Amino acid sequence: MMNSDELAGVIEGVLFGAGDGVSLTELCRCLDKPISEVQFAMEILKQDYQSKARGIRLVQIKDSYQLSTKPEYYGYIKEITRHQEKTGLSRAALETLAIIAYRQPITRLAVDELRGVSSSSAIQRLLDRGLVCDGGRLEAPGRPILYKTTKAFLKTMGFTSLKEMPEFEVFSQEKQESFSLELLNSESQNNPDSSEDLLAGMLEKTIVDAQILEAAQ
Amino acid sequence: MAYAVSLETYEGPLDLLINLIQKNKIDIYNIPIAKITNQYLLQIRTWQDMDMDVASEFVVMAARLLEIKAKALLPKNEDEQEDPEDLQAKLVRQLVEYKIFKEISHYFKTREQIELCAIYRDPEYIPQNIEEIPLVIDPYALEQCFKQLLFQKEEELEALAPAQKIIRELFNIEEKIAEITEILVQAGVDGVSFSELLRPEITREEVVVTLQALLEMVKTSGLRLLQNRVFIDFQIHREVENDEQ
Repeated sequence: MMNSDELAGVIEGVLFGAGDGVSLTELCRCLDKPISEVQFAMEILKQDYQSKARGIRLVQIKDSYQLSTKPEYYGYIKEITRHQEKTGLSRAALETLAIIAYRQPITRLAVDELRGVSSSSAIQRLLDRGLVCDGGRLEAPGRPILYKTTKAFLKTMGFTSLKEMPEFEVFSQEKQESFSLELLNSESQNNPDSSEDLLAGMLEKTIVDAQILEAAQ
Repeated sequence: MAYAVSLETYEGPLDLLINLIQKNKIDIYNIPIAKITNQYLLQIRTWQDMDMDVASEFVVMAARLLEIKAKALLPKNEDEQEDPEDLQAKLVRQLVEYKIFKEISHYFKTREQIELCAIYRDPEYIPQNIEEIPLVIDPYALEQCFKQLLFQKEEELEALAPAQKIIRELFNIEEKIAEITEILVQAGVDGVSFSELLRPEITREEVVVTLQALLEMVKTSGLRLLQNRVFIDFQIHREVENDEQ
C-alpha cells in the first residue's frame, strides 16, 4: 500500500516527467487512485514546495497541474540558462486584456468604446500570443466576434482560474485600498498557501506601485 | 525640422484626460469643464507644434469637450434632447470606467512580470516512443501554430542576417576616368556623346559609375558638357583643347 507521502513523490515524478500540464483526471487514471487521495497528496506536495528549501512550485491552471521554478529565484536561474530576457505586453495590450478579462465575452467595438481608441492591433497581438480567442459571435448585425481569455492568459497572469481574479470593484479608487487590505488579511489567515502568499505579495506590490505612480503624478 | 521628443505618451484621449485630472488634483465627479478643455486643447496644440500627428480620436474628444463646454454656457433650451449635464455625466462614467481598467492593467503588469520569471520544463522528445494517436485539430490552433512558427522563423532569420553586405566593386571611378579620357583623346575635337560611352550590354551599376566619373572629371580636369534640352543625350568635350586654341 502506498502512503500519501509516497503518492506525493510519485505525483512529483509524473509532473516532472510530463513537463506539460497534467489534469487531475489524468493523474487519477495513471496512478489508479481516487480523486480525494490524489488531491490530498497534492496538498502535501504543495506544502512541501512552500519551504525555502525548494526551488520548484506547483502551478495550478484550472484543473491541470504543472511544475515551474519559483519566480523569486529567477535572478539566479537566468545566470545559468542565459535565457533571453522575456518582454511583457505593451500598455495598449495590457489595457485591452484587462477589459476582455473582466467583460468577456466582448466584441472589439465594445473594447474600443471603453478605451476610447481603436484596439484592433492590440487584440491581434493578444490573439497571436494565444491570450485571448474567438468565443463565439454576437447575434447582432455583422455577427461580430466575441473575445474571451484562454488558459494561456491564466498562466501568464498566474491565476488558477478566472474566479481567482479580484472583484472588479476592488480597483475603483475609493475602495481599492481597503479591499486590497481585506483580501490580504482574509487570505493569509484562512489559507497559508504558497500561491496565496504570492498573490498577497503581488497585491502589496501593486499597492506600492499605485502609490509610487500617484506620487509621481 | 526640429527634432521633438515627447516624454509622456498616452494610450488615448481618455488616458490624457485622466492624466490632466490627476495633475490638477480634480475630483473626477466634479470636473471644471472649461479648465480641463483648455488644458486638453493646449496639449494637442503642443503636439501639433512639435510636428506630431494627432490621432483622430484625440480630435474627436476635443470636439466633445467643446460641445459640453459650449452647452454649459448657453441658456437651457427646453426642447433640447441632451442637456449638458447628461453629456458630462456620460463622459465621467466613461472616465471612471476607463480608470478602473487602467488600474487593472497595472495589476496585470505586476503579475505578468512575476510570472515571466517562472521557467517551465518542456516535455522531453522521445522519437521511438511515438504512438499513432488520432488527432483532432482545431483549425484555429493550427493557424496559431503556423503563425507562431513564421514569426519565430522571421526572428531567427533576422538574427542570422548580416548587418551589412559588402559587394565587390566591379567598376571604380578612377578606372572609368582613365577610360573616358582615352576615348575623348581619340575622339578629338568632336567629342563624344554620353550614349556613346555606354556599351549596349552595360549594367545599371556601370552607368552610374560612368556618370560619377564624368562629374568628377568636370570638377577636376575641365570637361565641357553640352545638352540642348533636358532629358536627352549630351555631348562631352575636352575643355583643354579649347583653352589651347
